[in-house]
Amino acid sequence: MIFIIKNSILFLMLICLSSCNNISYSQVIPLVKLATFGVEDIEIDDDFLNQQKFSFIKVNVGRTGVAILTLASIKNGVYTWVSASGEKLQTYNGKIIKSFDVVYDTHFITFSNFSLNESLQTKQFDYTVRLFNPATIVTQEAILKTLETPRFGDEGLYFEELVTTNGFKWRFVNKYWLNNDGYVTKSIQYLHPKLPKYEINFYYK
Amino acid sequence: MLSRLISSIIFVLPLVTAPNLGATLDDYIFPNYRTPSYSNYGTIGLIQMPSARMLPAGSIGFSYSEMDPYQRGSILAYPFSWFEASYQYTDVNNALYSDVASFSGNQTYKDKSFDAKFLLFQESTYFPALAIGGRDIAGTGMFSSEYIVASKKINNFDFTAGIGWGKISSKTYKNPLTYINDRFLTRQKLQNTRGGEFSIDAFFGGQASLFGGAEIFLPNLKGLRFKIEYDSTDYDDEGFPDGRLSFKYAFAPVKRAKTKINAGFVYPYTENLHLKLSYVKGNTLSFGFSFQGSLGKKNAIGTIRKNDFHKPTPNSELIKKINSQNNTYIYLTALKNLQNNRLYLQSANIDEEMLEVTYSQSHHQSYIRSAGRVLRVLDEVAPDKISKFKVNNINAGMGMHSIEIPRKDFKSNIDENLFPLIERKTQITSYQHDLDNFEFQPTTIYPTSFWKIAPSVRSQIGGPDGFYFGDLRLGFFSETLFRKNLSLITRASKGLYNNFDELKLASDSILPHVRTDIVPYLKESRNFALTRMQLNYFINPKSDFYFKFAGGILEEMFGGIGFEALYRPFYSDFAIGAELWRVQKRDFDQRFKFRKYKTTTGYINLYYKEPRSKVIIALKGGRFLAEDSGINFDFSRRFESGLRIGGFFTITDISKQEFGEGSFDKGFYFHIPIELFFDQYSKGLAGFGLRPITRDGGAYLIHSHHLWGVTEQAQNANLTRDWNDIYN
Repeated sequence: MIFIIKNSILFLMLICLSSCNNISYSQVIPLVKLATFGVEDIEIDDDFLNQQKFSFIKVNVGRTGVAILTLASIKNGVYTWVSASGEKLQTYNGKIIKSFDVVYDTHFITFSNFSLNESLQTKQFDYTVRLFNPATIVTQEAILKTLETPRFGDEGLYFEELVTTNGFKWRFVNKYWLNNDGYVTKSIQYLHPKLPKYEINFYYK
Repeated sequence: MLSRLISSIIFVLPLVTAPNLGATLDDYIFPNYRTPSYSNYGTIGLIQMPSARMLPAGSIGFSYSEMDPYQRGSILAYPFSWFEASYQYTDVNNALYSDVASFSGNQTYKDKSFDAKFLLFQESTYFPALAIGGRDIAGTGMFSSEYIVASKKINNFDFTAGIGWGKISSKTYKNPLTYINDRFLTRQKLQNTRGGEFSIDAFFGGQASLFGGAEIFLPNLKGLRFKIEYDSTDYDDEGFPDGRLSFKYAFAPVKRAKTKINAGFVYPYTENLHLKLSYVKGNTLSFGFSFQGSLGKKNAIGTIRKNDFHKPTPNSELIKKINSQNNTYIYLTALKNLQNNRLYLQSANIDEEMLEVTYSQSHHQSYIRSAGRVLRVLDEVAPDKISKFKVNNINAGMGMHSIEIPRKDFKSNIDENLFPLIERKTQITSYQHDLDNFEFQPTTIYPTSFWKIAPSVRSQIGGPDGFYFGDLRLGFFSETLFRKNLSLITRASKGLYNNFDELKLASDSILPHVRTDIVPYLKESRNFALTRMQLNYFINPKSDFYFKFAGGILEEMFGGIGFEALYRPFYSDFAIGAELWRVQKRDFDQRFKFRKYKTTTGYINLYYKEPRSKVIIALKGGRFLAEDSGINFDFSRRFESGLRIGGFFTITDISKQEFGEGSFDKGFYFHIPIELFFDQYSKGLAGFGLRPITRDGGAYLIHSHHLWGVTEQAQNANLTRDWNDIYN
C-alpha cells in the first residue's frame, strides 16, 4: 500500500520549479497523477478471481492506496491477511483488529466479543485500542446496530457501528455488509485518526 | 472595543482548553502541536514577535505573509537544531522602487534581508528555551532588530517573553546592556555602506522593550491555534512610516498601531502546511501560509517507502555449480546480474580464492549500499571455492575506493542485517584503477551516449523590473563517452514560454561585466540556448591524486580551457586542489560566438570536513572572473539523507563602492536529494541557491564535474557514514 501525503507533493512541486532537470519525469508523472486522481483501482473480475488460490481482501485506503492482501492464517477466529509488500491486517468477524507496517498502525487490545449476526439488533461494545505513530492507548465505545435494508448487493445484512473515542474527539461510523452465509463481504472502517477510511472487500475461497 | 474582545477571549479560553492528558494523547487532541508556527516576519515566532522555538536540524521552510504595507516571502533553513537562518524578501507597498518611471515603472520598493536565531538553552521541565537572534542583520537595516527570547510550554499554552532592540523596541526601557558597556547607550547607524553588511556596532544598541505572548493549542479543533501577543514593534521607526518624509520614493504613510495587542489563528492543514490569519496593530488584517519539511533523516518522508530492492539472481545455486567449472561463466553471470541491479561491471579478476570486480554506478547516493548490492550478486553467482570478495569502484574512469570482505562474514549477517559485525571484517582502501591488471573486461563500443529531454525553468527573482521573471524551457541533456575518462557534456534548451519582455535593467557595474549582463543573456537566449558543451578528460595517475582537463563552452557566460587538480587523501578530512582557466565571455545569444572580454582565472581550493558536525568548509582563493583577487568561503552541512544546507561569501580586493549594492558577494543554497520523494533510489539532487544581488565581484567559473564532487566516494568518511546500508 502506498500512502502519499500532500506534503511530499507540495515539496516536490517546489523542487520541480527550482531544478526540473534533475528529476526523473517517469517517476514524477505517476506521483502527480496519484495525487490528483488517486490510485487506479484494482478490478476484481472472474479472471482475477480464478487466479487466486486463497481467500483475499482488496483494501482501498482513501484515494491513494489500494492493495490485495491474501489470507495467510486463521487462528482463534483471527484472520491474518498479508500484502505482497509485507503489510498485514488482522480481522475478527470482519472488523480490523490489528494493522502492521502501515505507516499509522492500530492494535485493538480488547475486541473479543465483537460479532455480527442476524439476531443482533443493537449491541454495545467497549474497546481498548493502541494507536501508533504517535503511540497512545485510548478507549472507545461502540454501538452496533443492524439496519433493515441491505445497501450492498441484493442479499444479506447491513450493520453500522457508531464509535466514540474517549480522550479526544474522534467519532465515526463503521459499516459492515454480511452475506447470507454469515461472512462479511464488504466493510468500511476507520482505523487511525491520521488515515482515511479503509474500504475492504472480502473474497472467500 | 478590541480590548473588550480580547478580554472576553482570554476569559473564555480556559474553558475551551484542556489540561495535559498525557504526552502521547496530546498528539491526537492537538494534532501537529509539536511543529512550531511562523510569525508574519517569516521566521518561527508569534504574530509579529519572535519566539525561542526552533525546527529540527535539516528543516527547510518557506513562508508568505501579507500585512499592509508589506508582502513578505521568506526561506528558512536549519543547518543545526540550534541555528535558524533565514532570508526575507519584502515588497514594501508604500514606496516605489525608484522615482524614475522609465526604470521601474510602478514597481514598489523591495527589501532583502538575512535573519539568524541561535538557541542558547533547550527547554527543560522547569526552565524555558532561551534564544538570541537578529532580524535584518545584513540588509538595509529597514527592519533591523535584535532580541533575547524565552519560550515555555505549560500544558497547551506555549508562553513567550523577550526583550527587543532596534525596530522591535518601542524604546520604553533603558538598555540593560549599558551596565556592561556604554556602547549600548545609542544605536549606531552604518555609514558609507552599499547595504548587505553586518552592522555589528548597532547590535543590541539603544533603548529596549519587552514583548511577550502565547500560542494556545485549542483541543479537538484539528490543531487550530490561537495566538495573542504584546507587540513591542516601533511602528514609528519601522519601514517608511511617514511616507515621503521618511523616504523620497515613499508615497503613503504606514498605519500607526492603535493597540499593542495582536491576536490571530494558525491552522495546521497538515503537519507542515500552516495557514494563518491575524489582526495586528488594532487596524490591520494579515494572513499568510508557511510550508516546511524536515529533510535531514534518511526516511525523512516516512509515508514514502522504498520499493527498490536487490534483484536476486534466479537459480543461484544452479549457477554457482555451473560457474565452478569455468571462470568466464562467473564473470559473465556477474556482469549480467549486476546490470539487472543497475550496477555496471567494468573489469574482473578471478583466482582460486578471490573474486575481484570493478564497477561503476549512478543510481545510489549511498556508496555502501551499491557496494553491498554488488557483494550480494557476487555471492549469488560465485562458486563455493571463492572465499573473499574485492569490490572496486570507479567514477569517470578514475579509481575511487576498494572494499575487501570475507564471503562467509558477509553472508552470515545478511538475514539479521548485522551490519556493525561485518564492518569490523571489512577493509576499505583507496583505489587506483589500472585496466591492464584485469583478466576480464566487457567490450564497450565508443562513443556511447546517454541523453534525456526534460522541462527546465530559469528564474530571475527580486529585481527592480519585477518580482519574478521565469522562462519555461525544454531542456536537452546529454553525456557522450569517447572513453571511460573522456566525455562530452552538453546542455541545451529551447524556450517555451517566458515573461522576459519587462526585463530591462542594464548593468551599472564598473567592473568587467562577468555576471551583471544577466538580462541580455536571458533575453537573447529566449528561443534557444546552448548552456554547456564541455569536454572532460580525467586521470588519477597516483592514488589520491585526481586531474581534470576541460575545454569548450563551460557555462552560460564563459567558454575556454583549463584544468583542475585535487589531492584528496583517502583517510583524511582535508583535501587541497588547484584550478586554472583561460576563458572568454560568450555572446548573449548563448550559441558559439564570443565577446571581447578574456581573462585568466584560477584558484587554490581547500576543503575540510569536520567529522563530528559534518560541516564542510571550502575555501577558494585566487583570481576571480572580474580579475579581482580574494577568497570565497563556503560552509555547508550534509545530513544523513544527503540534504546539504550551505552558505557562502566572497571577499576580494575591490572596494564596497566598486562592488556596488550589497557590498560583497554572498548567498545560500540547499541541495535536496530527490530520492526522498520517490520509492526508488536516485543520485539526483534538486538544487536551490540564492544570491540577493547579482554583481561582478567575487564571481567564479561554474564548470561542470568539479573534482570535489566527482571524487566524493574517494574518501573513507563518505563511505562509512552509510555503513548501515550495506545490506539495504
